[in-house]
Amino acid sequence: MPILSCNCSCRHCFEELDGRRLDDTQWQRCFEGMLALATRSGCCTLKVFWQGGEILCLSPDSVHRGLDGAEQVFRDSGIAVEHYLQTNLLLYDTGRWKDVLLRFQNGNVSSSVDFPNVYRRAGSRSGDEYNRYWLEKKNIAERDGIRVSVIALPNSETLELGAQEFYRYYRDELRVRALQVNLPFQGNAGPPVVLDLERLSAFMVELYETWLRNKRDLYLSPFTYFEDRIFGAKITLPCIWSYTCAKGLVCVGPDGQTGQCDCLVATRPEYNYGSFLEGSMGAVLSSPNRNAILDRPLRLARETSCGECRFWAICHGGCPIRALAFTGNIQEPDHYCQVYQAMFSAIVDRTVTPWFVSDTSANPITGKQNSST
Amino acid sequence: MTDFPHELLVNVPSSIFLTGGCEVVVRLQHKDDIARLRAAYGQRLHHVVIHEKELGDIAWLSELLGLRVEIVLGDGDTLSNDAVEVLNTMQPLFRLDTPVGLFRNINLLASLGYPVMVNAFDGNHGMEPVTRALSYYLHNPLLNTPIEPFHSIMRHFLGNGPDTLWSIFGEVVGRNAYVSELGEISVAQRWILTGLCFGTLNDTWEKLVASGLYRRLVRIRDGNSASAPPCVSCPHRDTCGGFLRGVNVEWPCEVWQKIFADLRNQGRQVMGLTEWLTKGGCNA
Repeated sequence: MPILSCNCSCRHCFEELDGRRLDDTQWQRCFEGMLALATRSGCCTLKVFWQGGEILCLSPDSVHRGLDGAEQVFRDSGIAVEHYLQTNLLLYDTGRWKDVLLRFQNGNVSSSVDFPNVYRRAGSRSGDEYNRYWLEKKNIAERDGIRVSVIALPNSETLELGAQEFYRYYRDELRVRALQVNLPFQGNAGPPVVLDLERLSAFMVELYETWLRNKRDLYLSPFTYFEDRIFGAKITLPCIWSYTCAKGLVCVGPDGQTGQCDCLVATRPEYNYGSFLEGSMGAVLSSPNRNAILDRPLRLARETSCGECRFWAICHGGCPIRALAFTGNIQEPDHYCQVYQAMFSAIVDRTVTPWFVSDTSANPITGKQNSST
Repeated sequence: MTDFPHELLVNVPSSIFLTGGCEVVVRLQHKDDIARLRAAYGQRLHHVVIHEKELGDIAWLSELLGLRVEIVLGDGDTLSNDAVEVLNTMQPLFRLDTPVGLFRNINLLASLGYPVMVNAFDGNHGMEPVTRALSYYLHNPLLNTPIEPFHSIMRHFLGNGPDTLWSIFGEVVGRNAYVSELGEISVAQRWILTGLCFGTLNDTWEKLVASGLYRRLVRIRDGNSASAPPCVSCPHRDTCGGFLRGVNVEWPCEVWQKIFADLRNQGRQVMGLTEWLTKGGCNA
């Protein structure tokens, strides 16, 4: 997270956009720190997710220097480095950014668009104007050979419209091939985003069913992950459902501060792990704040209803940050537990059951009577 | 001291060193000298057994790296993230001896990828903990690690697993033996706890083999005797083999009969599905 400036002013943004940015002379030092951390953790492949703020608020030369710095530092380390980019894309233009973006995962970048657009704003553009402008930029980027995947946050108007319309919008109007639906939590500006959990559950289940009816013609996260996991594929679960995100993830802020993720480093410094540039990597890894997140799954399994949940192995209590955002306590289960359970149940019922096709017998996995084949 | 034959797997406390050629399972005490144990037994060391409280000593636990470790878990409270980190470098098996918190422990341990052995069938806690555990094994599509003894029983029903509970629980006479802290020898701990022994470490192996208990167990092993009259007409005799009422003919095995029936029923359905898939499934 090298920059905390952004060209947008989205009401649901959780970042503290105070303008800080990594000093351009610090790239090498920053990646040296990452190398030390990766080496200490026994890491074979380091995935660096570039996000802000907005990365395109840096200069293209600066990003080039960062990527070059990483290449130089890791060259003989035996550790592979993969760079990923999260951008709102609105500042994209071919002359300035094409060559830069093509350096990220062969031109695969991730962006964000909501539908309907209630919260995202750039300058004086309305929500609809924002989305249209985003689509123009996406089209330009794609003509330049860049592939854009999208993260979408449902809001109350999304729930009103329903999953079919939501699905149609991303697939047919925005023509995205990969969509990730994240569940929102309170931002720093404007009123908190609190959705009705019953309606959100119904929406997510309907979205899954819509996806099935359309023969899974998008890469739709998180459903793709869940199905892969149920069918036994060796996958890495999204961070919010991993056993503990603290084991494999760390976020580095623009001034070298480290913390669990981009949702915390700038906004909740009291949860940080220490400075990347000043302290030792040992201190970062043994930070009490990190240990608290590492211990979270065991606590949840012992002390809360999570331990009794049949979906524990795919959820692990969910996201600590979402727990913190809604309850004030990182050791609580994720606020969206009810929604996750509805999603997991829908997936199990619709993917496992049809494999056991005897019309009359009970399904040997779910124990339920088969209703159809 | 008894000279156990090579084919024996003998469960022994760390305070007793067994000479000879048999393989050993060593029940460790906290702070036992692991390097010395490795040196003493070498390749004969099959695995070690520790108790939950020892999971709190991370440094000592780390010394077990490279050994197969069976962990007898109580309520699971001692398991920490540091212990999990160390256990992830090993291949631990967790034995759950108490029905208290059984489901919670299975749920947690299986999600971490650890095989689990449920050994909480004392008949005093009712059916609920065990039937929940069985349901978890049968119906949770996220499970990707064996929950024993259900998994072995299911394999038995599917025709590719151990023959009876005697094998599943490692109480096969002529293959397994157990030495108590006092040097008493039997096929497993539960027999010694009720005073049923082959003899002691002061006896020769030949003398132990000639004991009444040993000969009785051989007859059961060879299918020449059911250990208790009610077992003769039991529909699950092919799976149990008289194991459950081996020590006590009055032992309440109703929970187990339910487990056998459920697993047998599910096994039939799996076989039906396999047959259907073999014939081409939906495309047939």
